Amino acid sequence: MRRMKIIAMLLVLVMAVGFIASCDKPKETTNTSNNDNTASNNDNSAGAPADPTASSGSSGSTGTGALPGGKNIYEDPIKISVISISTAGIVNRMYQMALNDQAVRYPNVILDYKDAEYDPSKQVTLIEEAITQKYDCIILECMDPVGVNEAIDKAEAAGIPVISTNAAEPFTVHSLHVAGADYSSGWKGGEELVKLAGNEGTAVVLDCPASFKPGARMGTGFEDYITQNTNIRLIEQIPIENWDAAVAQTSMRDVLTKYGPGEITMVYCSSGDIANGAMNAIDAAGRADEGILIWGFMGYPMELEAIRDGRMAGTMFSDTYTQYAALFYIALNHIATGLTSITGGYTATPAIEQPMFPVTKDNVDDVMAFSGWYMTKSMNGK
Amino acid sequence: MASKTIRRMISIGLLLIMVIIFSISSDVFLNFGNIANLLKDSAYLGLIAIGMAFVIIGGGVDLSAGGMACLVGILCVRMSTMGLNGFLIVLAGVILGMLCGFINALFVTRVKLTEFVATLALGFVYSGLTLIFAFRDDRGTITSVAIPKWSSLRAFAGNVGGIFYITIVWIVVAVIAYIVLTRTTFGLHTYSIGSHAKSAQMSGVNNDRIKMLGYIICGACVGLAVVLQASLLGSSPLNIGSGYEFQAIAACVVGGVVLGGGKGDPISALVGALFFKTLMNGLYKFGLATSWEYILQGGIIVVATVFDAVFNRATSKRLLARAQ
Repeated sequence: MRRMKIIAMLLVLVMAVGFIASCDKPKETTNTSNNDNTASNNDNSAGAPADPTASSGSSGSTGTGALPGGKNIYEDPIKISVISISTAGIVNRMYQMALNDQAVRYPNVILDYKDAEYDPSKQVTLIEEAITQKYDCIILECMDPVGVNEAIDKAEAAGIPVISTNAAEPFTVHSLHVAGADYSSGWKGGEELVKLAGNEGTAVVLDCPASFKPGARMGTGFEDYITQNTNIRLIEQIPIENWDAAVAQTSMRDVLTKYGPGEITMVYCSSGDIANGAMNAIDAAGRADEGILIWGFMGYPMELEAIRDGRMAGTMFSDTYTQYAALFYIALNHIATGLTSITGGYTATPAIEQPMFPVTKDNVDDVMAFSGWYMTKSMNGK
Repeated sequence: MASKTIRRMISIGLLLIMVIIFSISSDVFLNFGNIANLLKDSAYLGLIAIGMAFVIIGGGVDLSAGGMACLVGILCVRMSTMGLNGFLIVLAGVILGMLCGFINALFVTRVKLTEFVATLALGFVYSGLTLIFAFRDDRGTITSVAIPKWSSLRAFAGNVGGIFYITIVWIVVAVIAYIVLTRTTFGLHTYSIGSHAKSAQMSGVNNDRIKMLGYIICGACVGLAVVLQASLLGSSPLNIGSGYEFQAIAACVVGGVVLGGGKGDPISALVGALFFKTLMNGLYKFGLATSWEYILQGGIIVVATVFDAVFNRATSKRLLARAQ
């Protein structure tokens, strides 16, 4: 009995110490992420072509203070909740870097990154959490366009603008949606691949996870182009669980086992990670010389390097860094003006569709030149 | 004092300590809205955990609960779009869950697959069926469809004085499950097959029948949980249940349900789910990185398991000493 009491006391002590230690954590950071790339905030400015700190002038010097219903974005404490589907992978590193780089200018702004871990219920919980804690804005990478609607409505009603980005656009009216043009980029990818391969052959699509299909429509765009405009036969359409490179590699390996040399003309991949997995499978199968054309999405560093090295045919490039850097200021504008879908009287969600353009061997050097600094940084995780 | 009571008091004590710490260190933790949300979040996991407790106490495990939830969820939303009454949809959700549980049990008790393999495999099957029943647009692409605004299923997302229906259902189910497990022959037999299946069988217990009932109850709880969660979300995303089988097992373990079977009860599962969700809710207040969430969850499961092992050894020794 005494031993049990001691163990119980010890457990209580460990828990208490753990929580108290946890509670101190935010005080150590001011305006930055709590994830692995937090350090990027401080060492970025030297690497960037346009140093955000240097170009800004002194913080608060240009503001006129808060507008009616809004906050003073230079002086008032501001909290922005960034809720993503998952914080794993390069896309996460890149957007956190972009947001953190901008936040350097605003020591009063706290960016709080939250990971929904592919769980729609948790994403709703995180939105409600942001409402409870009276965050000033929510940047949301939405998992399901319907499941979060009630929570978004609550946030907007509480005066918290919700800006959705990429992935699925929530069906409910909210402050803003900013995303790459998924469907048309898939269509364009199809056009480009046909230019390279001709009007005949076979295509494999390594698509987004099935549960993301309502929002991520690049694979659909590609399929529509191929089936409506060419004689190319769609032989496989495989959803890749969690957008995972390893899963993509396994799936592609299976496809390569099923189809012999010369039987696969092109592989359309719905993300850079998926394209990476496909390339690895082709290399591992010793079929790199077959000339299977691989097309990616987003244009992340590994894709650009693969295009330069001739391992990939091309990708659609989306400037994620600039997109999220702009999002930061859009969020501040909403906070400063108190603009939400309700105060703005919106009947539909305003949307910014970020253009994407094809990158092939012809222009990959130019793209790498202008995006090189942050690409390198995101790759190195610095 | 009985060892069971001591174990329960330790779980509740730790939960209370956590609540006190979060209440002191955060000014938004102990407000009604937050607590209502916390209970609502706990209820979904908690209902699945209660069902899982029946299976675990009986010496098994159900790894299909996540896939089952996805399947039942999408079917219930389909029913809502067809205009079926909300009550009937909830009932159908429970029955569908029971049916899935029955199929699990068939593979375990008749086909004689190990529970781990049978439920893991069937979990994949349920996930696959979810995609088959998923909503598709004109071109056959999977899409999301909301529960219609006019559907009476949406009424189940409501609340009484701020406390969501799902929370009330969770507590009521926990109490009923507790009574079933501790005051009925079926409950006694569940503990007995979980403690020592062979002995139970030799004592005349129909192990297969008890196991089957355990899986069916688990399915019913999963069905009820997901239909209520879908009404809260206004839809059933295709991954609404993904990963919840492991969370439910973790909640059971932390609450004091022993993975080997024969120990614990639905209240333990309730406390375990509440413990996990309170921890997460509290951590959100401090902006901790997701990596810490994982580490703390994992750490707590390890500590709880080790503690249970030590605690059970100590209890056995004590009983042995008393007997001598």
